[in-house]
Amino acid sequence: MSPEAAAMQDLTGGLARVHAWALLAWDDVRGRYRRTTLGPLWLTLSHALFVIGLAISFSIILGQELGEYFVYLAAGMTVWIFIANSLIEGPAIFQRAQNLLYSYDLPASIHIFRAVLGQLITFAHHMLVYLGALIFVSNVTNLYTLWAIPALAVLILAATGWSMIFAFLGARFRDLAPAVAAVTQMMFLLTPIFWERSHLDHAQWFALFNPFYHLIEVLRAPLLGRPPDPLNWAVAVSIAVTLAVLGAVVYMKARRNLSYWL
Amino acid sequence: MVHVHLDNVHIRYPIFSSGRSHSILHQLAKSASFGALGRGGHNDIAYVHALRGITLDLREGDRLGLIGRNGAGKSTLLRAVAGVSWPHEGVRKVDGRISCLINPNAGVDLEKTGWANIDFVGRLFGLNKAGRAALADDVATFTELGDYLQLPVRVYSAGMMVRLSFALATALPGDVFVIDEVIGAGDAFFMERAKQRARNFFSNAKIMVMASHADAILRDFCNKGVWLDQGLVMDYGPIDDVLERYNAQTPRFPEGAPALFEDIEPPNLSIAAG
Repeated sequence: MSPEAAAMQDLTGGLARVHAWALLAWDDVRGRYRRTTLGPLWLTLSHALFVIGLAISFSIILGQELGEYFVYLAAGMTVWIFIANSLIEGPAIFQRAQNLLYSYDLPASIHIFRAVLGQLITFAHHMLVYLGALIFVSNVTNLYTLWAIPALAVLILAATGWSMIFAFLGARFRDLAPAVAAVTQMMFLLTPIFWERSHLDHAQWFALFNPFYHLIEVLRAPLLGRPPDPLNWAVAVSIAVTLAVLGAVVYMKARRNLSYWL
Repeated sequence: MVHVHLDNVHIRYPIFSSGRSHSILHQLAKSASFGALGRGGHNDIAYVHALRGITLDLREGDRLGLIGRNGAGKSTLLRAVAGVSWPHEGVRKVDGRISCLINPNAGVDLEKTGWANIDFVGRLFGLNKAGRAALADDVATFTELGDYLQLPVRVYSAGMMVRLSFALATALPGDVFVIDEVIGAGDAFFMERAKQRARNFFSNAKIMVMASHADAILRDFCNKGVWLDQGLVMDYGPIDDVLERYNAQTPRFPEGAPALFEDIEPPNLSIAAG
């Protein structure tokens, strides 16, 4: 069997072991909050405080109506943090799993799916803040909100793609992790997350050429009850499919070298 | 049919000695400038040719002991059989599930208790509730860790850790068992139990590959031997014959193996008794 075929088998075999990566993902989330009273609810609490703080100060700075701005942030920040956390975690995926990789006859790809699911679990905890905003501030959902389901699938596909790429590159190149963290932090400021695209006025291109804007907007628009925008969808789906294909190629090329890079 | 086959396997370890070889910024600058920026200095990656064309064929009932000096390629060969390191050249083919014990705290989470670790490994391999209960029973009986199983593994002594990892690795359903000399860290009593367990484990036609510097352990556990030197197979045959020829050629205990023969109890075991 060629190394590429063996790598493909490693990738699909890992995907099939749902129980293994689901267990590891839950364990990651729980492990971070072991010996605390609230447990993973800390995720919800800290996210709620962050969104409230940002909403109060920036509703004043930007002259926005507090309630409306709070819901906007609760949707947008939550989606952004899922993307950002997943990107930043990427380069560390295999390094963190080194012990398990050397110990059991399990496919390496379970650690990719474990990472993506772990971010989804965190995302679900953060979404409680958005639900709270719907209940206590204003319910902006309507039939368009159903678009959130395929939008989340697009984001999961994209996250799986960049996780595969960064996991291998991060094992080989040790400065990838700080580089990704630095760029991600900057993109937070350059992307319409705590400000709106309409603030750009005549400089719309600034958002339109930003891939993160399209990735966020496909999910944020339905969460805010806004109709789907064909351009957002076209760009986001293209990004997700490209990343997934590229990720699979990286996996097949790099899998055989993994143990030598760690 | 359990079967391990290696055909002309080569493994080269890349040595990332300089920070540059680990830097993606450096590599990008080098590619973008067509090599002009990366020149000078030792940024090329050196390789250690650890296995140089190993061919092995193991059938059911084979218990192979790897013999050789430090750096001969024993651990690399174990990793190759276990599927941890993929060969750069040659073919590895294994029919059967592998369980391996290559590093002493293999896959054990130091923050979890002994019980939680056992349950976690059971879940990882998709055992149902009854299967996990049986696993926990088996491991508890074998390790005799008693109340220690209720404590986080980070408080365990090295010997207790080895007992737990050895029990976990051999309790899981597996056909090919790959083990490095970590079991040397156990006390004499543990070694006796481990031997018994290994015999039961292999009574139903399985394959084992083990590396050790201790002749007594190799004779006890193995029936065949491979003598490795600088990544090449020097000799192959029944374990006693290979050991005899190896010892005739090599000065005794080049790396201080005698310590393994003495019944040294880890000091913390006396605390466990008290």
